[in-house]
Amino acid sequence: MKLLAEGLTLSILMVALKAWFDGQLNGFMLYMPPIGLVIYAVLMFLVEPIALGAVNIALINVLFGTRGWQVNFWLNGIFLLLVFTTVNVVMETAGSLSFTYIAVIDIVALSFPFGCLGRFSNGGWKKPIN
Amino acid sequence: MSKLASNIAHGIFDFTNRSLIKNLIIITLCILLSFSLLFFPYQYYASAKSGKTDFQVGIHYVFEQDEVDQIAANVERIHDLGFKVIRITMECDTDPLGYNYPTNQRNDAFFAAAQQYGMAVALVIKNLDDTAKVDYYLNRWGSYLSYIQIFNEPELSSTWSLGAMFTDDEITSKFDIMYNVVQAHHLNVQYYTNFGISYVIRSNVPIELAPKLDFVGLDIFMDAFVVTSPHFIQNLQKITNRDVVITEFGMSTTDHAAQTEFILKGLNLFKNMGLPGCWLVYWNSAYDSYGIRDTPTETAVGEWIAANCN
Repeated sequence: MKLLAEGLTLSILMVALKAWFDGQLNGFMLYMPPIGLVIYAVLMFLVEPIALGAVNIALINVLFGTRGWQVNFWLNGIFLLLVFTTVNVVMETAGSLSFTYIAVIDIVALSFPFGCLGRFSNGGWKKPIN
Repeated sequence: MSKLASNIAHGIFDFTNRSLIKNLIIITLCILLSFSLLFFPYQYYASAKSGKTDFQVGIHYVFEQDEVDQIAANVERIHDLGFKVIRITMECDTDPLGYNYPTNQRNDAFFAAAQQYGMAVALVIKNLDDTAKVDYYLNRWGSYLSYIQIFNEPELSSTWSLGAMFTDDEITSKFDIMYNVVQAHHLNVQYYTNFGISYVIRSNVPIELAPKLDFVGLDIFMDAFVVTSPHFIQNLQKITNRDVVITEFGMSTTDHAAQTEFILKGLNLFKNMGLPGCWLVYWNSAYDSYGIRDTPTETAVGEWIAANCN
């Protein structure tokens, strides 16, 4: 149940972020080129992974009663983002599915696996950190 | 037995639950996922099997390098191989006294042959062509055209040559001028502009030009860009909201086995991706080794078209 809650939160967050980034792509590209492209890349490959990693460890600490973290936010976020993106690209390529269907599958069917991966990919400590 | 399994599971969990081990596992998985993400679409489409489709194979014919009396026979050969489109560069002599100058005679011969064999013709208007020349050309041969390419890879423009476009606003303003000149002829044609892979660093250019285009072209050269092309094609489709046609695809080499393999690999990929078409460069080329005429590649491409296209 805890893993499902963690996965559901992460799935909804990643789907929402993907929808937002897709929707804003042209706007960023047209904003003072090439500054918009640079901002887009920074948001997508730096800010988003850090945010995802931070949310994941916060969820682990709250749900599993741990403290601290084992893997840095950015690396953890990049891992989650890569898993999510790879799964989506496979569904989009092999299944020729639109993003709407993929988003539903991500949230409904893949929340639990994402939760397991999220929990596995980072962790806190049971004891206080020195 | 179950205690042994439980001990093993706990052992693995304890081992991987160390920060160093977990970091190494995550880093390794990130590397593997990055490669999967990069190569999966190509591997999937390249290995897919699909029957005959309406995939349109075209080729760029540099007929200005041939003699007038060779042109009709070459158009016939291109037609017989199964190509549906011939792409040409706008070359003509606008001298009022030069109606029958050799360049113009070549155009007459080419369009007569293209009409005879029912070939669609795509005209390339280069970045620095002047509007008077375009007017002359379209007045004289415009009715024979099916596609007009306004500018060639404009995102690559630099200030290195006199009069070249460089800034984004120069590209869009000069594009608008040329587009209005072409559109004033009210031809029954489709407009497109082609871009190189480098469009990704000037993505605003295709986004800004796309509303006036019926489709966009993407030029692909080199193995690395064939393998990664599904990502570029999908991105270009997304940002322009237009169909993408591969408007330049070829390899300059005297190794015809490598050239054949490269071209067939690309044709299979683009067809399986469901693209409308792919136009090869070149039929003939005097100054490099792109040309497939009179090479084993010509035969192989003809056989591929016969086996894969309606």
